[in-house]
Amino acid sequence: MLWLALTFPQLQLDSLAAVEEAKEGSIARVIIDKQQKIIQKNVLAADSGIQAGMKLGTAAALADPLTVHVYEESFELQRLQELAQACYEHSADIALISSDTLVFEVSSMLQLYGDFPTYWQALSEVIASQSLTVQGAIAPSVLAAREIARSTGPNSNMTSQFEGRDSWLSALKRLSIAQLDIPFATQKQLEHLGLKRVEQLHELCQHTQARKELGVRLGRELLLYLDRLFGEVAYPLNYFRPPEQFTCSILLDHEIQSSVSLLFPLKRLLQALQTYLQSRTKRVQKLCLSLQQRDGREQRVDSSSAEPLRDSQSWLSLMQLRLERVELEAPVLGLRLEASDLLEETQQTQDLFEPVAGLAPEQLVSRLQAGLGESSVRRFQVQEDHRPEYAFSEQCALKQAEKPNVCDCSLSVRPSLFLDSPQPLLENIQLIHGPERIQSAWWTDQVICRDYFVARNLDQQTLWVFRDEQQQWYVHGLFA
Amino acid sequence: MPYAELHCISNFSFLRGASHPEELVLQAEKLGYQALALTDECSLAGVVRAYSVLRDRRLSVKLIVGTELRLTNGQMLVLLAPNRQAYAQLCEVITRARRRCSKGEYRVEQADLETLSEVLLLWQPSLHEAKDQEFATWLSRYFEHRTWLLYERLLDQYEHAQSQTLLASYKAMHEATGFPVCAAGNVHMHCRSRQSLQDVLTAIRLRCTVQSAGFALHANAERAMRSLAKLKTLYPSTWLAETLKVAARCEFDLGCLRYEYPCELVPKGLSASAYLKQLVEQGLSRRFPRGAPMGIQRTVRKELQLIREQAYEYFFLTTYDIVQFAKRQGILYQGRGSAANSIVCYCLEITSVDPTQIEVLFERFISKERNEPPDIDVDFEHQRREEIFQYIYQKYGRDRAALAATVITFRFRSAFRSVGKALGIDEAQLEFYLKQINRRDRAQGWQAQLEPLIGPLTGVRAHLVHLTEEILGFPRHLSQHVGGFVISSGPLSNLVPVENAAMDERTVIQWDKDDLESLGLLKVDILALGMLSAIRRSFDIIQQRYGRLLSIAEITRMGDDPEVYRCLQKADSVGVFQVESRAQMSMLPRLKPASYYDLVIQIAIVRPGPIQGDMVHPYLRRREGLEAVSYPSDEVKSVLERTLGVPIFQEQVIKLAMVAAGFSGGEADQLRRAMASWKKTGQLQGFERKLIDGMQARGYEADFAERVFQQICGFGEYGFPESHSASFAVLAYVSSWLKHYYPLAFYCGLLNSQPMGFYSPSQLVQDAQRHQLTVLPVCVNASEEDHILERFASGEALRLGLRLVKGLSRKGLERLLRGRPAGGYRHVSDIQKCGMDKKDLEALASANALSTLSGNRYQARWDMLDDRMRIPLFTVLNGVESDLQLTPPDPWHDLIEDYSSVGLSLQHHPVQLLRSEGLVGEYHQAACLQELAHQSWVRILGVVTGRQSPGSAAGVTFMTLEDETGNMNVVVWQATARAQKKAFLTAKLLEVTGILEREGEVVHVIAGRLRDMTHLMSTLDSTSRDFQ
Repeated sequence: MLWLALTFPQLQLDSLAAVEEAKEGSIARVIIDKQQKIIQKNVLAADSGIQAGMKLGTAAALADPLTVHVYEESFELQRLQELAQACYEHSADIALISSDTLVFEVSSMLQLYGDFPTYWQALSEVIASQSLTVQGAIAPSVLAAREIARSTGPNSNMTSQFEGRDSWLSALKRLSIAQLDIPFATQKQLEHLGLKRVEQLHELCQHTQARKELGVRLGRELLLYLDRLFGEVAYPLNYFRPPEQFTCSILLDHEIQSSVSLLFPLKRLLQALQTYLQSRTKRVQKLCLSLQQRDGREQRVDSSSAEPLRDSQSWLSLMQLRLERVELEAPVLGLRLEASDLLEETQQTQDLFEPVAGLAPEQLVSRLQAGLGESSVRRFQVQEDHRPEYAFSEQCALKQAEKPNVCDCSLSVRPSLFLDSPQPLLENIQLIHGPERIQSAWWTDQVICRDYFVARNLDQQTLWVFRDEQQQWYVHGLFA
Repeated sequence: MPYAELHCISNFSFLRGASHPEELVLQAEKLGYQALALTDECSLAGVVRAYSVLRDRRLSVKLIVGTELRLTNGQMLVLLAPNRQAYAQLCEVITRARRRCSKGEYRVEQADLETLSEVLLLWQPSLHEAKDQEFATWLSRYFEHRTWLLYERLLDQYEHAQSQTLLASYKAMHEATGFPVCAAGNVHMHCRSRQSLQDVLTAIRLRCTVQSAGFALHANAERAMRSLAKLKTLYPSTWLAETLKVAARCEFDLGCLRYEYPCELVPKGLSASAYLKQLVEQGLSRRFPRGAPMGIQRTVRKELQLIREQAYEYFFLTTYDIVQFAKRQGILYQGRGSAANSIVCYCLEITSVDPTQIEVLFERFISKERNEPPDIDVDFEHQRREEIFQYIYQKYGRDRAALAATVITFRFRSAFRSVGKALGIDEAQLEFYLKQINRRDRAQGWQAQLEPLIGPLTGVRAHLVHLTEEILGFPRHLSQHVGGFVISSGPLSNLVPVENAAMDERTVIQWDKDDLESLGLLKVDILALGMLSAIRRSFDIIQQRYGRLLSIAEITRMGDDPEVYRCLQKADSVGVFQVESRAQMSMLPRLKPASYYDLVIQIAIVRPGPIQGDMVHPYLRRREGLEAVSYPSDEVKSVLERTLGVPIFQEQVIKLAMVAAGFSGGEADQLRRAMASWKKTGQLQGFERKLIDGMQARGYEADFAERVFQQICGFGEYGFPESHSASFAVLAYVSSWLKHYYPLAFYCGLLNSQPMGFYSPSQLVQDAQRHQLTVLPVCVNASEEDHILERFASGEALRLGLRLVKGLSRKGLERLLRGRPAGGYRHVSDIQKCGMDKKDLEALASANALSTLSGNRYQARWDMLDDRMRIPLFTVLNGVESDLQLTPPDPWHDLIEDYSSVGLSLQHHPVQLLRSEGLVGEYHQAACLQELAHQSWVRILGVVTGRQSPGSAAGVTFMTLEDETGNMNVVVWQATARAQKKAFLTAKLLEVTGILEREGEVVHVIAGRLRDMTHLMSTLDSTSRDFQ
């Protein structure tokens, strides 16, 4: 087998730059690690003299202004997944082997494409479209390909690399040990023995006795790594697989004009979904229904439930509510139901209401939301904030409470009916209790400074009123 | 309606209180409070500051000493001290609460309070009925007629919900217990505008942000001091009136605290005064064997009389006792400080500077007018100071001796970082800003530098700036003073609370040195000085190897030695005390010291005072005879004669203020104190007009007067009196003498006392090699722990010790030395069998200490990495021994490893290697710069060993480059530095093209072009020979 390794040395930086440079123009930009050392830098930063490994302070003194980001491995892994997905159309066996590198099995692809340039053409177009710095190498060993790729210059000519593939070993031997992906401690140990280049290691490994002594002294892991590097032993790979998804379409024999009439064909699709999910013990929380129109255009109707569902009956009643509110743009000729994000079966926590007559609370919320619109069903969350307006907040009904409501309400005097915005006080009142002074949030735009009182008006209503700094009076609530 | 505030915390309740004690006192005075109780949480650390401002400004508000405590049972109390005895009880209970916990924490049990027979107690009931009832019963038993119920209105939601019942429950409790109710404000800040800072402090304390702190922040600013009118609307008048009754009972005044000295220092039957006199007389005849001159005898009488009047005998006796201990133990020491300017100290062997050699400025000895304590610092060998500490602890016990505290405060960086974090600003961003701010840039404050970075100072940015400004100088915690001991006759905790320091087995009192000084309490400064260790070691080596017994007194007694001064004049002073810095080195050839007193001046002249006063050049010109020495008047002549009419020392400037500007003795002393605290208070400006007007009125030129004032400001930054310089000059002379006559012993002593001084071991060893001394490498078979002298060829050599080996553990070192056979180790496995662990062996291999066994580092490591060698059986079977021969390291890698494992290389220098590999062109070498003419064009190459931008030289950076032949001084002007920022900031190997400037023997290169040559080092790396 032959492997093509593509390394993206500044994946995070390139991805950020693509987004941000569009809005703010070119600026010196660096990525730093936890120790505040530079690990990626753009051209402008490099031109100012910034090098990888420098400390942030030095870099800041060299380039002014300088934009700094903190390295996120998970971000790079996510980007690699996306890249793999994009390349998947053009290449079969792809694997992620570290946060910066993808490897591609080349030999099988050559049969498909005929020659390497055609194959590389297809891949490089995908990569070029993402404007990423890339370094590549080809070798019969996965690790060798990666380590060579990491040490070559950016945007190297892959076709000539392919033609010179037989000299991979000499390219590998030229590398220094610091360029290998082995633990820092081992690297240091090797360096301390005067072993600095791969060539030296390779030579050692040629002699059985020397190889054995190396293993005795530096551990079996190193030997294993070297065996894999030199292609003596295969490197275990987990190939990239695109995420699973359900798709099922149906063509209608007649045009449907009203959305309600879609329910019957939809039922068949949902049953297919149920079977699909059952066989995989999965559930879904979101469905995407595409309504195909005569001119090839589609109208999309998305639907989601409060909890992951499998059962076609439940989905049907949700979709029914949803469809009732949909106006068809044009007559419908076909339906396609898609579900990505297959979720594992899990026990759901129930914390909103007690179950009511066979209907799980989430289901109730789902139904309410499907009928009233998602934003109309809300829940309360108590906030630790001295300002009454911010002492509680509304949030999406289905979001889990961030933290349990522990506030002991008996410790404060608060009205049962709270006015969204304070109303100027226009009547005579009698103050019966107070004041409570609230003066807080100087760090926000909503600084307040108020004296709150409990008061009674002529109608014997008990009001919650306050006086602000300008001595203006307002009503902010009513007591029951 | 008069009022006394009885519950108030300052910023010494760390990260709770948002005002300085001084601010609280001043505000209480302004608001017309009758009294203010400072009641920091389990602490009296802020109370002296409050007391000082009250006394110095003669305020009418009365200060009550108290503390706030939260008991383990949850009850909150305020304790107040009505009299001295109660004060002692307060100190005692705080001490007990603090000593049983780790630093910064405290724990008080209810039972701890039972012995407080005099203390007044204010109780804030928890309003938990059962608990309160039980506690009230206990209070009636132990604090009858001394308990009040503390009623505080803070207008928060808790009180709002309760308030109808709150008043009632207090009344009911009063009925039930008979405890009167007393109003208080729970003050956290002196004015409302500190609310934002108070919130930020809370966030810093809870390690969160103000946004996320929620109800941990106070709902309003009612914890500020409130006006009498407002208090009247908040509280029933009887409860306000009650505050005055409490205040009236508090008569304790901090000013009455007196220090009771340890009495065991005086033999039975003698008074302290008589004993001191006796010791001084004995000393007098020892110091002046041929009889003391009349003038000396007169001064001694005057000093003794002053000491008697001020009752300072014990202070001198304590110091005497400590130095006697050091003398017995063979620990080298030397006293300095204002009181060292006394013949009494000379006679007590606290100092060894002959008073006939320097004028004694009496005003600084003991200031009678201001009732201030004398100041004696004693320096001891830095590595043996702990023995002195232990002696003091053992002699006086831990309850009678403790270190003074140092208040650690928010400095710019910590302030900016903490406030920024509390405001929710990203840490990486804050670090980035901090890196951009040049605190040395005096033209532009940090605020101005910040603006272009973060944009206009509005919103959060404005908060960041103003809160950082506000929090600067706020105390964060108490740390231990470097060596200021307080020793008393009875338990210290009767005088001041004692708490645990971060260091194990160390205790500190809650006051710092300024607090002690304010109260007129004495401390003994036990300081550490590296040079004393080095000198003592050199003495020991000389005695062992050459049988000559030396001492500081012995060397000084021999008188000024021209040979020694010749070395100093050449600036051959690497390793010589005080005159080894770059600035001192460039002054030596100009000033050309030729006598002890020249050295005293030499040490004092390269300081901010004389430099800012522009006194250096006038002095040098006069010394060289280029300028006439003249005096405006006889009085001035008497002050400045010995420094050729140019003021150099702090004492001279003060005396000048007296004779030339008409300052009284007391005013002059105020000036000295203002100088000492100038950085903190900026009080010096008040003296400017008085000094300049006074001098002009007496006929001095305005320019000279202005310069004298500038010099005073310079001393404010770094005060340097003649007495210190005189003590230092002795050590400078002694170390220079050793370097000249016993160079091997000198370097050996110095290297064995590291870390200390200005130079790294590498620089010291290079200096030794340049003096044609032989230095031998670390070796497992030849080295001891310390560096030693060893017979070598026909002479002697310095053998580097194992102490240099980085990463070698103490245990490993001991095993290696203990297991070493008489004939030395034969094989690496012999060492392995001593039970050395891998890390230690690795350290030895890295240091090339195994080279006699394995040949080179690589082979040594290969040999020892084989674990099987540890098993005896295997070593018997020679078969497993590897016959693999690794390529030895090339010189470059040897050099790199030398530096990383022992910090120096005996064989190679990077510049020399580059030269020998033919990687660099022609350069002027350090050794040949001396021969070049003034204004020659030069090109030099060297490793950058120093970059200094002294505050006294605006815009200039001094760089030191090192090649294999020596050091080169480069001056980089700001414009050059800015234009070649990259090379200037980052180069490790630098090429400088520029003009050589020569002034006498002093040679500098004024940098024109800078070229970063660091890449050459990696070139050297890759040209290294290949693996065969």
